Amino acid sequence: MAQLSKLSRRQFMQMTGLGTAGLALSACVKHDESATKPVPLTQTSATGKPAELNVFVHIGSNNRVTIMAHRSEMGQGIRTSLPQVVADELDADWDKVDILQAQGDKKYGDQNTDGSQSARQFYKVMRNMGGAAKLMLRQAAAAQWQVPLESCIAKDHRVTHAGTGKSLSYGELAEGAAKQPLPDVKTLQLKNPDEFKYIGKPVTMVDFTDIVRGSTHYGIDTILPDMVHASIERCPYYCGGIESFDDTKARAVPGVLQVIKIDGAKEIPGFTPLTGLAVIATNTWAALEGRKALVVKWDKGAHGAHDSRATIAALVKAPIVDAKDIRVRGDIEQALKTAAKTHEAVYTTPYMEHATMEPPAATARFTGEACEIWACTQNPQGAIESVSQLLGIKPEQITVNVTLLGGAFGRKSKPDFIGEAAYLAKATGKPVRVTWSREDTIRMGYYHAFSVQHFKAALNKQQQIIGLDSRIVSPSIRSLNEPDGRYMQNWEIGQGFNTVPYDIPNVRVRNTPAPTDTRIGWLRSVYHQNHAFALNSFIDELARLNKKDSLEFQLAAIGADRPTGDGNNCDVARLKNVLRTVAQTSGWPAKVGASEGWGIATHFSFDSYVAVASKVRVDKTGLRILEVHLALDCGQMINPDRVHSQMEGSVIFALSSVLFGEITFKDGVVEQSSFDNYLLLRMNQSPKIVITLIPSDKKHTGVGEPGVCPVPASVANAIVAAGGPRIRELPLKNHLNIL
Amino acid sequence: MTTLTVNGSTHQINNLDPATPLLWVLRDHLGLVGAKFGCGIGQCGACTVHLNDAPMRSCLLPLSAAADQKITTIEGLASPDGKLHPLQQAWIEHDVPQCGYCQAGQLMSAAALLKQKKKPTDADIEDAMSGNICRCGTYLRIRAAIHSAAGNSSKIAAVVGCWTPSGVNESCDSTTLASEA
Ligand code: FES
Ligand code: FES
Repeated sequence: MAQLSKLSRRQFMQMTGLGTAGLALSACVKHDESATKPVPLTQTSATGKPAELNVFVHIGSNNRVTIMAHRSEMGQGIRTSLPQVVADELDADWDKVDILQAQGDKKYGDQNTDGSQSARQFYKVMRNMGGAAKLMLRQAAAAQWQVPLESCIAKDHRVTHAGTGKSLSYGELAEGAAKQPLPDVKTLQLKNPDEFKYIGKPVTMVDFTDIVRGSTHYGIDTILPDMVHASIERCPYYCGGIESFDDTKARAVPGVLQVIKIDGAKEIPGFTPLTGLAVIATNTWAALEGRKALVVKWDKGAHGAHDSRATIAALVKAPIVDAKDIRVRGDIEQALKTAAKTHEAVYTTPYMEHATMEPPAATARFTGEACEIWACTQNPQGAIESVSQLLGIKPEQITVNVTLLGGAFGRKSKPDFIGEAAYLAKATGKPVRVTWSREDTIRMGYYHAFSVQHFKAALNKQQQIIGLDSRIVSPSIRSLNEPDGRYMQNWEIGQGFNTVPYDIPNVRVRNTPAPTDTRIGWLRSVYHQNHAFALNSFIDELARLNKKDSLEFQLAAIGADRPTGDGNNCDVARLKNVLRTVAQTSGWPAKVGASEGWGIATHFSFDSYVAVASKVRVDKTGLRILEVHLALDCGQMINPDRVHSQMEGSVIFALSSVLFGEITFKDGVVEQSSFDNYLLLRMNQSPKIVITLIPSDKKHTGVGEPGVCPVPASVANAIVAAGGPRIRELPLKNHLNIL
Repeated sequence: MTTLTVNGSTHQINNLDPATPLLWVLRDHLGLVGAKFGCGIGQCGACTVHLNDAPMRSCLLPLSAAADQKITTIEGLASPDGKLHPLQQAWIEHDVPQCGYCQAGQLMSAAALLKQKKKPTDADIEDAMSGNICRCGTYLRIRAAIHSAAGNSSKIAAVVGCWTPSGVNESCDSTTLASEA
């Protein structure tokens, strides 16, 4: 469907031929219960009236089935894969299915497309949607023919009567089906996996033809009549402000219409717009030129001296103060004292930015009564909430249309840029599109947290790890909303730091405070990627210290099959299986040429199991990534081709991070600005990639994020195997020339 | 007044700073939003169009330099009757896009390459395509799709593992992967 969200409700009705005579399947989907509990198709409110209806499936009299896509599409294929599930249970003909992007609305359940959640939360819900609609169609046929329901068979977009062979299309049955009572989900007979027609198949994405024609609609593409363009000069200092400004020259730039001051949050940034000066113009270029002509004196606030390199270096050396015990098992002090051998290391990872190819962009129109928004958002309901607070209007007055997202990786679930558009639409009285420049994106981000990770291991004579003492220092995302956010949240430490898969009797995990000097946000796989780098590097160091093969040492450390029970339900048998799989595909311990080496790493995250083996060459000229093998166990797959492409992308994404990814602050301001100094991997640097997807009938687990986690350590370990240095401080570009 | 010829149609542009980059003229004035903004400094290739059949970063090309030249954007890559360009076809066959945002630029760079070289080698492809960033990481499939559009599909350097129902470690090239779809 070319126009994702441009269709009005009325146009949509006309287009589908739906009118009043369609089948609208209602359902209430609750976030928390959707994953495990059956979802009621209707929900009765306290007053006894049916709660607001939800609409996922429409069938028009023209025989077209329309399926609502309520999660945001950012390259993971969700606009296709969830409807694929509905269509399968519905026994619809995929060629007669249209996908309509849902607006932000609680009636769809959780829409925050984040945390690798979509399949985990909605697989079952989507099956119920399709299954219930099919039952209603069969009931309608049974009623029309006056025959038992059991004799009415749904297949290929038609219901056929088993006895007589007469049949009706879904379009012909739609009106009657809409009058059927909503079935009880518990009574639905869903398909057996061997009956699946679309689930588990590599169905082509619905948007591909439009993408290759250049006719899709991203957030940056919205055009409204009489729209003006905004580019905003934002305060580069964390929680800073504007001391004084002169916009005379800016207003004189041809095409510039006005300059509007935005007063952002002073103390706790949350998702409110940053303080800045918005230049409003007749086109984007004029707005950008106008910005260049602004004269601003910033109030640097309390963080004007922030130097991130110095901050991290100090935390590596700082004495342990105010440590908080996160986990204590056995007696770590005793284990270290009696150990045959001990080893310690400190790893650091820097701030990073999402660098989505499409920068944040949003368009808003404000009429006094209502505010309508078009945005590349991962979280339309969050945007409604945030705009409601900002403009002081009710959520019901706000509409959020979700466009395609030109990459997101967590950046676009923060609605600050949508708030800017809404605020400026109100201030100017005109539809406004806010387009972030690349420099804005890199310099005004919600940064991936840096980390300093301290490890100390105790080994016995048999070269087993008998003790692990670890300490993490990393700014918390809670600092966005809490004045004292120095300690990490449990879930943040739980992302692979507090939840190691090794079978070790004596463990202590501690957290010491980290300062907050910028906006911290989640970025693809969040804290997992930092923790996976450090832990997998450390285990490789221990293997080398013991002169053991790294794979064998890791498998031994993971130990006997068991759920780890450390609060993360990692089934270590599946973890060992992905490790052995990449070992097999890569031919571990493979022979290599001069200056070449392999490294291996594994990580459990978002309920998925991933292992990576990488091959590199390190010589006088520098570092070249030659080959990356990845094995994923994500339970069942809805669309294996999209799972595969997510893994290819995860490898490339993680290579950008480990090789180049670094945001630094000097005198309070970000030093990087665009793709010339915040580098991303290019085609000529990309290695050969081999992906293995492990077939499974287990529950769906995360796909978007887990793939990135083991990549950095696999590369760092490979560098050592190739005769290069042990690098404990990312990114690698600070140590080696990257080829 | 400036005359622009885009995808065969002529447009008169009035009252615009002649320094305005072509990208913003296309997007904000002509409503042709297929060419994307990625960086504005020639680093990412998202804005690639053809100027007289050669690839051009439209974010750097001033309106004055585009005047009276032949400009082709992604909207003009398919033939006028709507038939997809062989590369667009190959892009779908290989399921190349992820978010899709960079793909207009990728396709325009690839189309310019095939105009120059009917049978590009891996090295040719790398040379022509390494100015186009894809944050989603679709490089392997872009390479495979260019080869297959050029009729080269037997020679694919980038190997992608295959998902098979029996599931174990079967390697194949991405052509096979795509053709399974
Ligand atoms: S936008 Fe033109 S090269 Fe990036
Ligand atoms: S497909 Fe998303 S940036 Fe290339």
